[in-house]
Amino acid sequence: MSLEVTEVESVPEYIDQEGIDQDSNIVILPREISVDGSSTRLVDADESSTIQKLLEQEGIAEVEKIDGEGTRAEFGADIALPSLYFALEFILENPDIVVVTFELLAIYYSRRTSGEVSLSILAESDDSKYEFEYEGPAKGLQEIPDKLYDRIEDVEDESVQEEDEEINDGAIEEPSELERE
Amino acid sequence: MSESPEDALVHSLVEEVVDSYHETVTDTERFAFLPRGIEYQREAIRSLSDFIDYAEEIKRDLQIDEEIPGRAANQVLALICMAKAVRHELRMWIRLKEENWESAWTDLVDAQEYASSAIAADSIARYCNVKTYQEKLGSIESSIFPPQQFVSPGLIVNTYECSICGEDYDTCPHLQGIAYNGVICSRILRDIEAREVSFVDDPRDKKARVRGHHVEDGFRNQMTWEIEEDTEGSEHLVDETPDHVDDDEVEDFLRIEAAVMTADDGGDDFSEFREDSEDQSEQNQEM
Ligand SMILES: [Zn+2]
Repeated sequence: MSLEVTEVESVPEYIDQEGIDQDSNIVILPREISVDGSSTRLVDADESSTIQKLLEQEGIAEVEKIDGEGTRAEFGADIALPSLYFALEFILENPDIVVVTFELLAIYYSRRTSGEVSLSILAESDDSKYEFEYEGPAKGLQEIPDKLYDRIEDVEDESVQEEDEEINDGAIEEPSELERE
Repeated sequence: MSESPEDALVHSLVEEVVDSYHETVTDTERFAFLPRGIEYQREAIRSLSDFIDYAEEIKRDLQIDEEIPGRAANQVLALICMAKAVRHELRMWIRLKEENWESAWTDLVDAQEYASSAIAADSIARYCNVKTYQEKLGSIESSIFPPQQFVSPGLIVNTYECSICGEDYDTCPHLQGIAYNGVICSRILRDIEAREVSFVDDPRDKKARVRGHHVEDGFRNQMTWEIEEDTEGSEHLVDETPDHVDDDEVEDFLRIEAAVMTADDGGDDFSEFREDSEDQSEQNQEM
């Protein structure tokens, strides 16, 4: 099981274009695939509809799906879940929804596969954007929120620390945890 | 809270199936080993088929009554799936002794798929030691059969149809892999755009495998390594050259069985093991 966190330049443009209320939603993102090597096309990930239905049926209403043009079918023993987008603020303000979301995914996919699942989570605030990558057994999905909150805390602490260091010219710069990874 | 008479009836029906399952499977699993006599293995397959017929009937009764919660039918479905898994395993051992290697492989994969379906159907599968059973099948795969190379189709699907309600899967209420009143929801591919075929190590469908490759004097079977007569033109075969195969090393090209298969693709016909059909085949041999 692994959960990697990286700072990314920006979330895909289509999130803004779709006019989604980023402060109140979990957004299921489409996948970008190349067409003839030159252009790209957005398609639904194979599990997108399933996740949307699963979460909605369990009363998590804040789920939106950006529809692609068709669905990319997957035939591997391991299951690649679609990327999920969260506003950082939403994660911080709705821990109960986040916890239940990943519990539901863990229960459902544990029954679906004895192989691994992979998932990426994009989280964005006004001044920072992060990508969390998970790969491991389906059961481990339920541990994501704890790790997610730990990492967000670390990352936010670091940015505060970095600001302090910038003020203090004489400070020896330590590489941040993100850089070390 | 006391149980209503209807609930009690459902429970006793399910319990009856559970008892019958344990009796049948405990008895038949003894023969799920290579050295066991074929006649015992055939007999075990017959017992399992009888159990499956009986359990299917109970399941139908449970499904019809709208008052009965769907879980009862799901529980029976899980037991049916486990019995089918063991039945395929037994046939695999028979096929191996007959040196019918490819059919044996198909039976192994079917056994694995049914064991997975049992888990999907209901948590009652846990009491059938399904995890241990899956490990047994996994070790058979790695120790009895040579390593296989698999293919996986790359597709864009414009519509998935729900196998339960027949509606568009995107908008219907069912979730794939979940059992509803004794039937597991799956998605049926409708309106697809085929893109590519790729080579994968760990496919969902282990029946989609590379069957062999062309050599100068025929077709080298990946399972036996023997050279067979070339069967070019068979509609089930697709020619494909994988990127990672060095042209200098392999001058010929690989031949791939690229059909997308499911657990229900016709491998469930066990009629040849019926008592009457055996008499028939013996008579035919005598003639
Ligand atoms: Zn449906």
